[in-house]
Amino acid sequence: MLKYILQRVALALAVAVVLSFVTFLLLNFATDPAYAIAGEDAEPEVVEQIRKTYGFDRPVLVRYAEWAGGVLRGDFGESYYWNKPVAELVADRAPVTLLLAVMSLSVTVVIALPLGIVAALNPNSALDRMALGIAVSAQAVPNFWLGLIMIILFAVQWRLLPVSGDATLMHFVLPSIVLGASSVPAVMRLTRTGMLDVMESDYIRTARAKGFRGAALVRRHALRNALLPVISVLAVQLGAKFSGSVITETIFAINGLGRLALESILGSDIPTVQILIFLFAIVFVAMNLLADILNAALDPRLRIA
Amino acid sequence: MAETVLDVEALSVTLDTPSGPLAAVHHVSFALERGQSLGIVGESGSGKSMTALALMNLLPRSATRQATRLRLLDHDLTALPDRRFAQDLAGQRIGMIFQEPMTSLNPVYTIGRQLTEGVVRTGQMDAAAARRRALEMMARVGLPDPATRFDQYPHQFSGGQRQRVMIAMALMAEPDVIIADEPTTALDVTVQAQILRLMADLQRDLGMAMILITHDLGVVAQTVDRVAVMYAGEFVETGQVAQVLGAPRHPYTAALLHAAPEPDGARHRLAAIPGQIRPVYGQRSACVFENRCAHATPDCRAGHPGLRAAAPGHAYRCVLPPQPRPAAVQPQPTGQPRDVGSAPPVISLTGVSRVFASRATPFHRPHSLRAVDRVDLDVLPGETFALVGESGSGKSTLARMLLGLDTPSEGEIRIDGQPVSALQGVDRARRIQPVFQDPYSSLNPRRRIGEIIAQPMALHGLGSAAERSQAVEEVMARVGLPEAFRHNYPNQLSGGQRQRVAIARALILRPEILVCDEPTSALDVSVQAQILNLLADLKAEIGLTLFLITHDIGVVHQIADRVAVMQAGRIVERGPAARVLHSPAEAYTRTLLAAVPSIARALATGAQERGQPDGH
Ligand SMILES: Nc1ncnc2c1ncn2[C@@H]1O[C@H](COP(=O)(O)OP(=O)(O)O)[C@@H](O)[C@H]1O
Ligand code: SF4
Ligand SMILES: [Mg+2]
Repeated sequence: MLKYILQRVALALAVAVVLSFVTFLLLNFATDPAYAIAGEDAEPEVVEQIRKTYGFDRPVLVRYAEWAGGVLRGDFGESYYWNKPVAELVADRAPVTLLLAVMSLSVTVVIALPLGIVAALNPNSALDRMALGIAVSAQAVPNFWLGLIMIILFAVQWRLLPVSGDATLMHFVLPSIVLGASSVPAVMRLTRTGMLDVMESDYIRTARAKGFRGAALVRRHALRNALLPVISVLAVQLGAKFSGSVITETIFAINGLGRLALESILGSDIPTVQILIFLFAIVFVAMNLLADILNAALDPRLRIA
Repeated sequence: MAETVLDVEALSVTLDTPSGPLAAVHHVSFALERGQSLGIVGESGSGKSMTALALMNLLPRSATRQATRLRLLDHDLTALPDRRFAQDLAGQRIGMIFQEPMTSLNPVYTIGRQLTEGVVRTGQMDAAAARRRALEMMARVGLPDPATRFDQYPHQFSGGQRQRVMIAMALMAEPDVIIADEPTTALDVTVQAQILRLMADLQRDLGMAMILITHDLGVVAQTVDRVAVMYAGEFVETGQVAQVLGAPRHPYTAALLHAAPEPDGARHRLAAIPGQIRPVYGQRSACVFENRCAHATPDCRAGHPGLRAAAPGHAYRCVLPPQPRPAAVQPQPTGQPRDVGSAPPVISLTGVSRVFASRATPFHRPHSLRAVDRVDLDVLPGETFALVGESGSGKSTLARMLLGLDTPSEGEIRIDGQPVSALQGVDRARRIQPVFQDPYSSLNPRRRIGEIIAQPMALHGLGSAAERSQAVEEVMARVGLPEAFRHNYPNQLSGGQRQRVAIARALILRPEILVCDEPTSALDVSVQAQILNLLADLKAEIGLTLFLITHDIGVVHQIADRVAVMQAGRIVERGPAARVLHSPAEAYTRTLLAAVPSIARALATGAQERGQPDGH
């Protein structure tokens, strides 16, 4: 088990390194950092000057090595745009996004799992069709649109919740619902099919032969098996909440990493964008790792030879 | 008179299907006393499982159950809500063992938890008492080291061990009735013999009533007191084992007995039952067996025959008077006798081994396994050579190497004197062709029968369209497939017909050798007989060499000339089939043979061995 985890960690790290390198290359080729600092219509000499001072004329590999070395030491570089260390920027904004991600994942779980389970337990019933209807319409509704509608209804019309900002926990309710809702269809469908498969299985028949029915049958025999595949998807969805925070945070004026990313991109702030993409990638990889470990913990077939 | 624990009268199960209401079980009646056992036999689709599931309240959603009487002890099951049945009876008074030991246990929970949860749920025992009882039962069903195994997971047990766990689980609450649905069908014969003996012992010791469901007449013959033969949802013949199997009165029972290869008897052509079971939708206005019955008369179509008595306790559902129904015995065709001494072997293996090295994974150390271990073997032209052994003994690995689908790690395989490795493409395809076990998965469901059969020609770019069509026609006639099936898809054919298609496909290039890997083990006895007869005919008519892989001694007895017994990758005994089957030299061969359920043997020794105290 320990060896398995170590192997997965090593693999995850390798993926993260490759990802960071690729984003570094892309960012440095797609945009010219010197121009980004100097501004669109700067004189060529000024740009050249900046290129020399910042060392942008050196080979990209050397610069990547420098950057990576910095990251390892905890030095994330300086933001050209905000004129602050990137590390400071990230530390300021990360807790907000983390809270948003966790809250929206909870929204997903609270809606998608029960819906999926109930739908699977009553296949082709009105309930099942309703759940499926919700899933389909939720998938068709764009995130920003749902966000705007919720703001108009809950914040403007009924004044139940604040419109925007991140001052109190109440501010996170609407954005979490919006962000969380986007994962509901995928997770619900997976829960439903997983549960349907399990309920058809021979071991459920065995449990029924032992007299288990209803909630006890589901809880004691079906749930763990049905949720094994869902766990992996939830982990991926949590990762997706981080990148998904770009739009949601902008709509709700939340000062998190997503909004930071958008502003930095608009300001061509390469060091910040680079770190943020790297961070999002790390979160993604870490979530997958977590899912693997959880799966191994819950499924003995993966655990022992 | 002992207490009646289960009393069933006119039990019917109707399934709601797209083609209308399917009467999967029709007016089934029987009563079981404490300590009594009833066997239900019949081919697949006859309604055996539906009967069991109906008794357990486990029918699928699309099914409805009806009965004029359905009593378990003093409970009226027709009036009992499912909640109450689950609460008070399921698993406690009536328990069930299923066919699929590999999937019937929950993979993510320990054996211990699964064993104990039933009695703990109902409050019969607390956790500690349940654990003690589980350890006791595990030891009783022959699981070694119960204390350790209690905390292990299903995947750490073999198929036979899992079935032992299932039995222990069903017995935890000491039920009054236990239903076993094909409990040994998925197991090797030697394991099957152990499990059947175990169940018979437990049933007697614990004084339970037992229903044993199986498609294997040999299994019922040696395990139960009474037997019901099921066909198209109804009990067509019921009585004591000796009555029903020894003096069958229903033409279907007789036909089943004639179709089963009997390893102890003389070899003769099997009397196959033509056609296939016909599901009955709606009313029964004729005899259900009428489309396959050799004795059918217009009377049989006039109405649904009632039960008539053949002897006390022995009843059958047929218009004919109670008389024996002998089968027409035909000799098995053998073809021209061959000069075995002079012909060079068509297949020759020298020192062939196959070593599998498992790669290191996060959970396994690398290790190597000799699946086939230094095998020397010669197969002569025109003979039927059978390789027998239990699952995992290396039979299929050997077959794969013969077909060139796998390469020996050591040694050499020659076909017609040439190394298999040197034979490529058409050269090899024209010499040796496979027929696989499962006719359901080995045929592409999206191709028409004609295309499937012509596939080897298409693959090697042989013949024009007209020539291929001609070849398909010939080979279909040869294997007894109606020409009309050409344009059908595999799912429109029965299991036996599909296996004929597989054989036709193998024959279209006119190979010298057919490698048949368990060609009949997925088929019912009546259909198995058709396929075995076909193979015997092909051998006699076109001088085909058959390399037959099987675990079924009956099949070997029926068509093999020579036999080799394989155990753990090695050939432990070989020789002429008659000699090996009748006077085996090796202990392992003897174990294998003794494990095969034989009706004749069971009937001969049955009555006194089963010891029927009050002679019912
Ligand atoms: N879930 C199901 N839905 C519809 N028909 C079924 C279902 N299960 C079985 N049947 C049909 O019911 C009949 C009896 O099947 P079954 O009891 O499984 O037979 P056996 O156990 O004797 O092989 C068959 O015609 C089969 O095709
Ligand atoms: S009733 Fe007729 S068709 Fe049916 S089994 Fe008897 S003889 Fe055959
Ligand atoms: Mg069945």
